[in-house]
Amino acid sequence: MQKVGKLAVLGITALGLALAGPQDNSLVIGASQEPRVLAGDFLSVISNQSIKSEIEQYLFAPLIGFNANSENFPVLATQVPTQQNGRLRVTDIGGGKKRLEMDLTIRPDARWSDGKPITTEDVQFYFEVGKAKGMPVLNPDYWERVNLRVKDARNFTVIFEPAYYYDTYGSPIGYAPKHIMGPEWEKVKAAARGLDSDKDAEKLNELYRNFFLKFATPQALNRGAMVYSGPFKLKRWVPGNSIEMERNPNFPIKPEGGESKYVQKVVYRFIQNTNSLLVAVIGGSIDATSSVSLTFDQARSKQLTSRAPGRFDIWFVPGAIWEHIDINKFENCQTVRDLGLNDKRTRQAILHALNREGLVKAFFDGLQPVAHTWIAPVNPLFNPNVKKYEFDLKKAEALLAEMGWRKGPDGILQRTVGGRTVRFEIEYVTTAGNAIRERTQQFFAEDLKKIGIAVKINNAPSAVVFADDYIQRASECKWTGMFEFAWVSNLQEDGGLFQYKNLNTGAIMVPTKENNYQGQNIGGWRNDEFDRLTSQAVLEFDEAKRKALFARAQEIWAEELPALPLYFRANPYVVRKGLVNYVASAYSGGYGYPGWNAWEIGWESRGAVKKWDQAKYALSVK
Amino acid sequence: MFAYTVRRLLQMIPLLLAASVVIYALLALQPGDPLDELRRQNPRITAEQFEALKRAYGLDQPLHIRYFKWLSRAVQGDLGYSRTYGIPAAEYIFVQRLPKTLLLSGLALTLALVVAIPVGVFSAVRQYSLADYAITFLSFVGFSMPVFFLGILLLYLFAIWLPDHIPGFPRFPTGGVPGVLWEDVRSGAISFWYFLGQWAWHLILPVIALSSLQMAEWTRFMRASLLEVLSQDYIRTARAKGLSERVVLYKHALRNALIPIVTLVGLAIPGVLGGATITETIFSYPGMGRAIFDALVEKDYNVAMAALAFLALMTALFNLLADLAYAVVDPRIRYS
Amino acid sequence: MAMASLVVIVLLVLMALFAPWIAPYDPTAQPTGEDVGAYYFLPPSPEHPLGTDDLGRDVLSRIIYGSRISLLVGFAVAFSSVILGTIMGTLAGYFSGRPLRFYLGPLRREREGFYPWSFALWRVFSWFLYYGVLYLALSIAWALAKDGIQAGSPGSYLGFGLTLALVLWAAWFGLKGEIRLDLDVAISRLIDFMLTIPTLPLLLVLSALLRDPGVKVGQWAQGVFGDAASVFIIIAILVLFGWLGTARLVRGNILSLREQDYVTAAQALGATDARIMFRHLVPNTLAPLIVQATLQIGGAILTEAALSFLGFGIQPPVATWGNMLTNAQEYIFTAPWLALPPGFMIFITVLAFNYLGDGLRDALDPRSRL
Repeated sequence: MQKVGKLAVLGITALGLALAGPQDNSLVIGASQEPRVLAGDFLSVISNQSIKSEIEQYLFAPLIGFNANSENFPVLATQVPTQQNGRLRVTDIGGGKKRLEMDLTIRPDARWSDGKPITTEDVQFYFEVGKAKGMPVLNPDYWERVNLRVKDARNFTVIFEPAYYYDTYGSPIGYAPKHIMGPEWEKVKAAARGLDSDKDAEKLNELYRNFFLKFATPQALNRGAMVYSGPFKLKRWVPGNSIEMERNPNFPIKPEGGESKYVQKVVYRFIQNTNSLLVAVIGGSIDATSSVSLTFDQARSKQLTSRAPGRFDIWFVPGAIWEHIDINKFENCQTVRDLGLNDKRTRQAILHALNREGLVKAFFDGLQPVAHTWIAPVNPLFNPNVKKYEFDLKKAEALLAEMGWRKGPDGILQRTVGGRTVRFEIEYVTTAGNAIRERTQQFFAEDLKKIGIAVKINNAPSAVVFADDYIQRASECKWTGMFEFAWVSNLQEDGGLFQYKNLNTGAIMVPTKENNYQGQNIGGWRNDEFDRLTSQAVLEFDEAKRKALFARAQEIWAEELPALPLYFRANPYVVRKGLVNYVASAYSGGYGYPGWNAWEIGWESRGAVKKWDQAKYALSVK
Repeated sequence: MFAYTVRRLLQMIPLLLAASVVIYALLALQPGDPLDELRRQNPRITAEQFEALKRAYGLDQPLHIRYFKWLSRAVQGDLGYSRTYGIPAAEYIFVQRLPKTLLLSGLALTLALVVAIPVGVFSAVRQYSLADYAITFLSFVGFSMPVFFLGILLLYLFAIWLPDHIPGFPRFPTGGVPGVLWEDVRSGAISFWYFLGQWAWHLILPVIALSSLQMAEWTRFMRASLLEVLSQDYIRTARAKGLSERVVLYKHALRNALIPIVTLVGLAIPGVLGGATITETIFSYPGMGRAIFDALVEKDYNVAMAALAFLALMTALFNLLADLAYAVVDPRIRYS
Repeated sequence: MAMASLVVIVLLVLMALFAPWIAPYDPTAQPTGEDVGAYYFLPPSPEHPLGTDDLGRDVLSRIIYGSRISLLVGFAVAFSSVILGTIMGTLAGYFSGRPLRFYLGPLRREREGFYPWSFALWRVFSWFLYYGVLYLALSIAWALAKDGIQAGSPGSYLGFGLTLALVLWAAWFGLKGEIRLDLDVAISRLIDFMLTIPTLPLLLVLSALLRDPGVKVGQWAQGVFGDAASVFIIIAILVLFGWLGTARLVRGNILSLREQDYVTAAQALGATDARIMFRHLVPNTLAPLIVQATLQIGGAILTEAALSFLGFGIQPPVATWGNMLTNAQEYIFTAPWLALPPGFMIFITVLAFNYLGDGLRDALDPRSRL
């Protein structure tokens, strides 16, 4: 009898999981990563995981949001500052540099979840903490340029100097609950008074981290140590399992038809192993997947797609993650000179020999598009009219023949350089354990073999290849050929990935011993016109002019090919039918996560009104 | 014996010091540092800003200075903060992860023992019977099955295939821990039995996967050990005295046969504490193995150091205990 | 069963040796033509008895070629570990309780015995070692205390003073002293120490070191093994941890064997230590060693597979059962049949070696019934 009882309990639990969704107007989101901390770590000093930013969209509303169409819209601010309404002013400060001022007004009905109004005090508090000496912020560039002027309890001005065009994207500043965190901060300030930001950097760091932690750990949040300003507030966090959030009645924006018609409870379920996560999705205990969840292949697997009709939509949101092969172009490396990698013709020949169209079709059913420059097609700065390199072995062979390469006895190209005969054997590095990259690598190795280029695969775990003393040291010939990896192609594009020198800051972007291996231009490309165009473009607040500058920069890039563009990744989402406004686009919310409009997410069967259609921003699996 | 113990304990000190040096050096010599990822995520960071961050995390100092700083804090019981979780490394390892690992690996160990001993005894008593051959075969299967293969197989079978093909078959959870808190039991929101049931339900598959190897190994050992004892003279004497087979078996033979098993179990305990990286990975279980692996990959030095140093200590300690246990159970072994 | 498993093993070895003749396709050949995607993830069919993988390669051929690496890893690891373990275990057991003179101070006069020049050389070398360590300790202490001393902190003065005193004492002791080293204690503690070293960080570090162009070993491995350099690295790492068990086993055996009469007799006849160890003692421990080796072969194959699972295994395009199984895991929902062949091969091979080891034990040591 007892046994039967136990089994019944277990059965009900299994059933209970499956019952989530429209039945109780809740939403269960599956994610493969769990945030380490939340909420109180408002500067992301402790953790800057993407899952943290994604979940915080439910808990904190920005002053100005960024929607799926990549447009600003007011959330807790009354208006978006524009030049038309006079709230955005750009002034010249000489040397081609600009100053930007933005006037913002906080909504009168903006309140924290404990009922206290959100005021400029909270903005000021955020600003003060961010500017504190020795604060280990992750975006020091922003904090060096930003300034704040408070007018009254609801009005303030944010100033950037020098200003770049992307400072107008989304909220120019954040806020944090002073009435909750302020007293603790005073203690921290007192303790930090005697410390020097250089000599006692480690002590300061520890002090600050402890401060954020008091409002950020699962234990603290379960105790109710934090207040929220978003459409949801945290109810409880079971580490290793889930985070449960419930509707925040103090959130001022009401969705169409009243908030009772929309999701009342959001649960993030954490299942680290993506295969297990897929099993949970198939089993029906998950309504939607997070931006950090299934892999591309899992989302296309037959097990899922065969069960999808009538139950799920499977979306592929074209993303901004740019998969590419960088090439060592440092002439001081013998191999680079031998293979002529510093000559654009060699790079063009290799790109002609890579069957990227075939790969995209065979691997991804065409759902991830071939890339032609480093800027994503979803970015307004993208130039579609650059030189394109179709798969053409004849052209590749012709270019190589021009460089003096002839087929050797073993079928591998060879040529004479300075009296020595060299074989065309090129190193190809990528992250071991990344199935799709290793697969891509073997696919391309086969292509290159056809034109007589031998590939030497040299992979290692990402911790090894992305280490400072490997990836940043092409100048010391640590890697001598091709290096496949990905960059996130930001909406805030500044060309920094391929600049030799940033003319605005004077920083050298090619990592060498001289600049302590800083900079992202790891292959060592230098084109002065490119530097000039991109440095000028970030100062340009006129969109048309900026586009023209970037269009020219992309033409140069595509002709010179400092790196070989492969494809742009797409992020897969599985969403239960009937769930509306759970929508992601490449840049929604700033990073491209769903949940930027959390208050509008709901079930159609519960009366939620569809306002955003995912089909506009994504491809669906056939 | 006492002198020997003291000497071994004293020898442990340099041993552990050496181990901590090597572990620390290995961690620090690992390619890259914790700020690499940050640099990749934030292209606009300048060299000076990066140096300032390095100072803030104490990464600008040479290796030996960092080690001695760590050591002097560690002996005072301060293991530093986890860089990624933000909480004290000791709390993360010993409060959050170790109990979960003890639960999973401990249950697996217990299950392995509970099955292995009676099955091993049965197999020895019925030596060369059909059942004995079957058990032998099964235990070799257990030995030879890669645990990750078994784990994936179990997952696929019990979470997808069987529930899909047999109506009414319960769908097993795919991993992780249940969404119930002990506080809920205390506040009366859920019953204790429900809490227990939830945990049991989530632990079934990982415990099976994890225990199979040890179960197989110990079954073999139990069988061998009992057979060895049964061939001894004193058992023959006991039988000759006319004692019943039951008494001979359970009173005389089994006791002595259990001794080597006890040592084996003792030696297995540090492994238990270290968690099972692979099983924990497959079943998304937040235990020690995964914690160490993640800390290594994410370069969360304090956490990795705390966990690995603790494991080194436990390994050394249980090694010593096993050696001493030998001496206690077998008086012929003398330590000078 | 042992005979059956021997047959299985012989078949496996033959398969590995004659892979190019048995395999129906080139294990790395990818399909060519327009729509290559149509050849990916084919389920088993007469052309491809085990189907094709994520790049359209024939799984059967890859399994056959994979046996080469898996068996190579198994045999190489077992063989090297047993050799290394035997040497270490024999030294530890034989010299237990007979400490070697490890260090002799420069002022210490030896009253008895004759020392060849090589010993003198070792003596000088050991002085350099000894005083080098002292110098290092002092410089570390100075680096630690420098800031504090400049700031006038009493703690730093005290710490540095104490270290200085200690180093001076050790330096004085080193002049006239002698350090004796019990090989048994040294090796036993080394084993204990190795057991406390975590494998994972070691793998990460080695993996980085071995691909650094500045490090010769890595370059050498790349040169000698080419694509299979990672095989060599894996073998080296597995051996590094593999000899410990054997050494313990051998040490125990030697400890009891050296008390036997025939050893005393050999010593009385003036046999050298080396002769006694390797002509008289080691052959008598062979039986358990062979058993240990067969079990270790299976263990090494399993460990290689587990390393692949964690991302530290042997790299593509070299096919091993371990990396095939790991790769199949990625596609367990797209092509579940990919996981079975490598999983089954690992299983059957390890099973065969375990049965063989078991059978050998019965045959070689009739008393043991494990």
